[in-house]
Amino acid sequence: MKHTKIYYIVWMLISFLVLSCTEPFNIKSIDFEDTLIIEAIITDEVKYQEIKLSRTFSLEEFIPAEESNAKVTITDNSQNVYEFEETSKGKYTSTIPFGAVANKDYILSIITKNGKSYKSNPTQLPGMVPINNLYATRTVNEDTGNENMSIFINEFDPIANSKYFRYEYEETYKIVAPAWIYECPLSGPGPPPPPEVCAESLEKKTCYNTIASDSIILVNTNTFKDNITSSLEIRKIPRNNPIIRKRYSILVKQYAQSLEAFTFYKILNKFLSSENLLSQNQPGFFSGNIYSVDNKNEKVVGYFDVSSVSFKRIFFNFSDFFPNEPLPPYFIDCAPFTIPDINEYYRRIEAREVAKFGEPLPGELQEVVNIACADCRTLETIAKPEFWID
Amino acid sequence: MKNLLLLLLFLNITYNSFAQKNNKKISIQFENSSKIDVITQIENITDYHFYFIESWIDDDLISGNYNNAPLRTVLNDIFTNTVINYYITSGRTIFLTKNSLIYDELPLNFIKNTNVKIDTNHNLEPIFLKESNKNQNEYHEIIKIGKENPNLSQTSFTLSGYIRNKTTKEPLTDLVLIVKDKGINTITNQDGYYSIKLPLGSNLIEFKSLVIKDLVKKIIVYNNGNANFDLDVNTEVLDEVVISSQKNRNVAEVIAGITKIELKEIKNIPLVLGERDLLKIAATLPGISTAGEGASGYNVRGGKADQNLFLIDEGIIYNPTHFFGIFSALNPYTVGSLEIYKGNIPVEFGGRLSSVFDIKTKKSNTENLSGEAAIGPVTSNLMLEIPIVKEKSSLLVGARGTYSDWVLRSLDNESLKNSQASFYDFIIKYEHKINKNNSLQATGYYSKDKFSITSDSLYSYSNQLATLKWSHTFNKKSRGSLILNTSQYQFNIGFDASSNKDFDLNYKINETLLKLKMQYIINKKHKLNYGVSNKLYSLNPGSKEPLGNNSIINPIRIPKEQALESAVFLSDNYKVNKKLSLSLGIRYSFYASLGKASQRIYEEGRPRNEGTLIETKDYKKNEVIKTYGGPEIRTSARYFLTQGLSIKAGYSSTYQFIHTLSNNTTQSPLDTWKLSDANIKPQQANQFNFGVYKNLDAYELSIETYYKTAKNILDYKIGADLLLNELIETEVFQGVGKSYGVELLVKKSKGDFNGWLAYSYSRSLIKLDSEFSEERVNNGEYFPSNYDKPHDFSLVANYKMTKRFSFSFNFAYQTGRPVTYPVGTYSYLGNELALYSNRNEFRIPDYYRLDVGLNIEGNHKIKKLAHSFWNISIYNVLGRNNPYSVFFVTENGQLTAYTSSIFSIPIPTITYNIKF
Repeated sequence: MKHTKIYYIVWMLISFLVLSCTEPFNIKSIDFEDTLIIEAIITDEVKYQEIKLSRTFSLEEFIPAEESNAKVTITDNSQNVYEFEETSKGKYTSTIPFGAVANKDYILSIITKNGKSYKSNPTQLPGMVPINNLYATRTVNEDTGNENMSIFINEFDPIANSKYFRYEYEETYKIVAPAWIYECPLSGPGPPPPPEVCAESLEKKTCYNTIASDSIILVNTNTFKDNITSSLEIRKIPRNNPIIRKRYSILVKQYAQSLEAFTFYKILNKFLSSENLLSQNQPGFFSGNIYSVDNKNEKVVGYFDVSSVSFKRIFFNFSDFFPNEPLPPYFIDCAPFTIPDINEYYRRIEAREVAKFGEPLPGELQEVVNIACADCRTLETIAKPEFWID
Repeated sequence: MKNLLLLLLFLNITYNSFAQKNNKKISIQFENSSKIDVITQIENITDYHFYFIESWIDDDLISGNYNNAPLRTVLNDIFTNTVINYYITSGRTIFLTKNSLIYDELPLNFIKNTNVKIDTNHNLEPIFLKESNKNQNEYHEIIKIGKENPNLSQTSFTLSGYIRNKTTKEPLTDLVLIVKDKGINTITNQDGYYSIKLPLGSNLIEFKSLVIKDLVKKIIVYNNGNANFDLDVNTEVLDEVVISSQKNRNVAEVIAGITKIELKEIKNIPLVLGERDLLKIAATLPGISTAGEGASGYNVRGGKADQNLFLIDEGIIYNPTHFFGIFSALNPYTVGSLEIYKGNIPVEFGGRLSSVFDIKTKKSNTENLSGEAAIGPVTSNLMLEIPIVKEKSSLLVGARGTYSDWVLRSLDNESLKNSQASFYDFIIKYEHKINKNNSLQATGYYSKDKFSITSDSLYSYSNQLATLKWSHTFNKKSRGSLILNTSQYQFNIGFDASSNKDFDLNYKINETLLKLKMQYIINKKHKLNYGVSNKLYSLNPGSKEPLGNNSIINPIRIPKEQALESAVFLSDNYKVNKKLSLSLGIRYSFYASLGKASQRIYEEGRPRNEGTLIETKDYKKNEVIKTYGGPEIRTSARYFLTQGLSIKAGYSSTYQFIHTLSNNTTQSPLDTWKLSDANIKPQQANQFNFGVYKNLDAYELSIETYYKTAKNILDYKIGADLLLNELIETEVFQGVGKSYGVELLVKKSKGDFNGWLAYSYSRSLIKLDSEFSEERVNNGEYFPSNYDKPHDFSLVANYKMTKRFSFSFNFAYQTGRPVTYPVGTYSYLGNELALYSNRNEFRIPDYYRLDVGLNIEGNHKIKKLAHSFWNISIYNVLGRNNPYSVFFVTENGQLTAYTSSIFSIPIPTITYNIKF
């Protein structure tokens, strides 16, 4: 009996210490500081460059606070002035397409609608470094035995003039509805359906989607033991992730950066990653390279980043790496089921919540599946991208 | 009464034996016989009868062969090495006496106006017991020293010996022996030894110390001799926490800002999870605080947690805590005393800016095997005192461990099954008294912690320490000790998430110290302390090894660091007059950063980063890279305004050559230490203090104030990577600090109701300014440090209800510590992030806590083998959810706030203690 008690106390203690001493709470504003946020990434790619301006919003509510009616310009030391205009709320686009070039100092200037003036330090374009080798490979977690598809970059240029990189990626994948039925039978009773029905039915079968990365991936190749063999894992996709069920493509963008820009993103990244339980990293405000002209002590968030960018895209099919193996599951459960209530059945068919699946056996109910299993368009999708190669 | 009888007897004998001489000759042979046997033999062969008390006669065996020898010759030989004197009467009776001599004539003028013929052969007067006792109504134990020798011309003799606690057999140090009305006194040294010159004859000696009841003994000195005393300690005081062992220390101590905690009995303080924790008790005293319940460091007078020197028997311990500071890593049963210097640090210590926690393990019992054990809900604790050679050497062993680990493992809960939390510590001390002037002490200590917070990482850290100390007394005025010790702290992080980022990280710091400290008493006014110390640091900042074949982690090995820290020191405790005493000290510290190492040189006037790196200089092994050093002044003065009222003032300056690297807001066990080098300068501090001290019957009162400045305090850029960063200097910068405060302490250490009340108002501020925005915090203005808690109030009280029951409670209130709080959110690159306020602009809610405890003593039967007691305590009775930290993370693009608290509910514990 005594033992049990001790157990209990220790259990309480440990569970208490290890598990329950950290709990989320609703943040309440103690104070609010209205601060200008500047997202300005200019690349060497000749295009309409974009700059986003916003302001901080209060802790309690997520109300995007765009900064409108500001005057945004970029000047270089050859007295070229690139004007920006607000194309949508808070989004400023250059009036002409341009790309940053090497050995020029670029300065970003902003005058907000309330007349405050902000400027960046002169910033130069770092040297361009191509992505030499982007590849996908099947990896196994040694302990759990879980399998993954991993996307790596290696063969970094050992003599490249840029050592600091930030990565973004965009993944695009093909979706094939597993319970899709061609609603345009080639033969059968009755008249053939109109061609647009056939075309639409085909659209329900194959879809595409693209998702952009939201994490900040950074690498300093100085830390590499060997620039050629050291590989950087850009993305890891668990084997059972539906996005690799059929065919998958990833576009990796590599931004060669200055040390200052790299440092800025590195700190930003720290605040995005989780914390230790009992100790807390010192949080605080960190400044970028933009300052207020009128008041040096005013907080300004953001970095005027001039980067040279290079791209690389690869494709792979699930079967390339997992031949003759079961596919990852579909995005939703596609097990057929029946709806005994006839009214309810018709209502859900009408509402395109479910789709018929197969033909009912005599005396049995019609089986249905979730509509997304028969019509992939009901998932979040895009039209077939131009770059897509099957 | 007894004395009177003796006197009567004496007079009677004297009367009877007037002018009697006896020269009887005897023949006797004996070999290896006891003295009693020989006496019996003499009685058998002669018609003499001996009168004596058997216990006077020792058991030493004697041999002899006498042929027709005078009886006196035989008796002289028999009692030659004893304190026995004899007197032969005419009636063939032999009286044996202990110490005293039976005189057969009265001294000169003993009986006035009588016509007695005085034999002048004796040049000395006999010693009359009654004489010195005539004004005394009380009874005093009489101790006779040496054998009275009528032919001795010496008039003063040396008495020496040691004084111990009767029950624990621990030496009583600093005990004062005062010879009444003779102006002679002495003090026992740290081993309880004393030596005093006493005039021949009867001396009334007073024993004075707070730990014992005042006591007077009559010592009759016949010759040089030895007397050891086992004294009863003042149990009234020892039942409670004794903060100061000396009654007058509060007012009389020359240096200000000393806190002494005697750990003889701290059992009445309410416990946290059954642990008696010294450091936690220290934190209830003004000027010593922690950043929070889960912070492993202590902040002393506004100093950073890395600025404290924790010493166990002179050896440094880098992390004195277990489990993130929730438990202290010191086995409370093995600790003798803890002395904290927060104002003026004695010159013999250096290398830390704020304080010294001087922990001494207890003197082990050299007489009997004894020990103490405690069984608590989290840990069990055992201490043994093992005598090796009686009265000479003994072993002290302490061990403590948790059983949480196997309990966790045996649980069904999946998530707990994989977690780990365990620690243990072990201490061993061997003491050997070689002789009166030499003693040797060796201490070994090891502590280890292991825990995992997430299932994929395992953290562990350990402290190791070995000390050897040889103390030697040269003469009455001069003594010294030579200390050699080595300490090591290491930690390890194993990250095994079965990903390609698995790694194993190791960190290790080692230091070896050789120190010689001497004490020389020039005269009553000047007492010198001086010495040299040399410390070699060897630091392995770590390596990160990939775990498993899949790991893409590049192995990192940060090169070792080495440095030498040397110091010479001298201080004079100068007693100017009865009222004014000075302590004048100087320490010169010298530091050399040594190779083998690479030092990076950066462009002047630009922020240090990879971009401003000019070159990397390589240094050969033991080549001096950079030296620092300077004098450290440690002075203070005490002036008695009235007898129980004194004022003290002091100034001290300190150097610290080692820094912790931590970007946490509080100290954690995984903070690394960094040695000063070409890019990182040593920290420096100056402190001025002033205090008023008053003793009022049972109360001790003190008010102290201080003002402290510091420079080159290491701080970090936001988001710095400190672990395994070879370019650490690019992530840190150094600023200045200042702190000031008023500390009030009211203490009652006697009586059934006792305890203390401590309040301090203090501020601790830091300024990080630079011309570069990345090295500037809060626009380069002073801001509160992470542990700035202006109001700090503690009340510790014990009430002894009956002999068996005592009740205690503890109340603590502190201003909430500063935090950096979001003042807005924003969206950047698709993520929601917090915009933070200026650093430490806000505070977490105030901290308060009440603990209660009940001690139930086992019965007090004298014959019982062991003494036991139960302690029942409830920590945080009010269930106050004191937040420890508040932090904000972006999860899935959304900002989430977390608060963590350590003990947010009342925690009851029962411990069983046994002492044998």
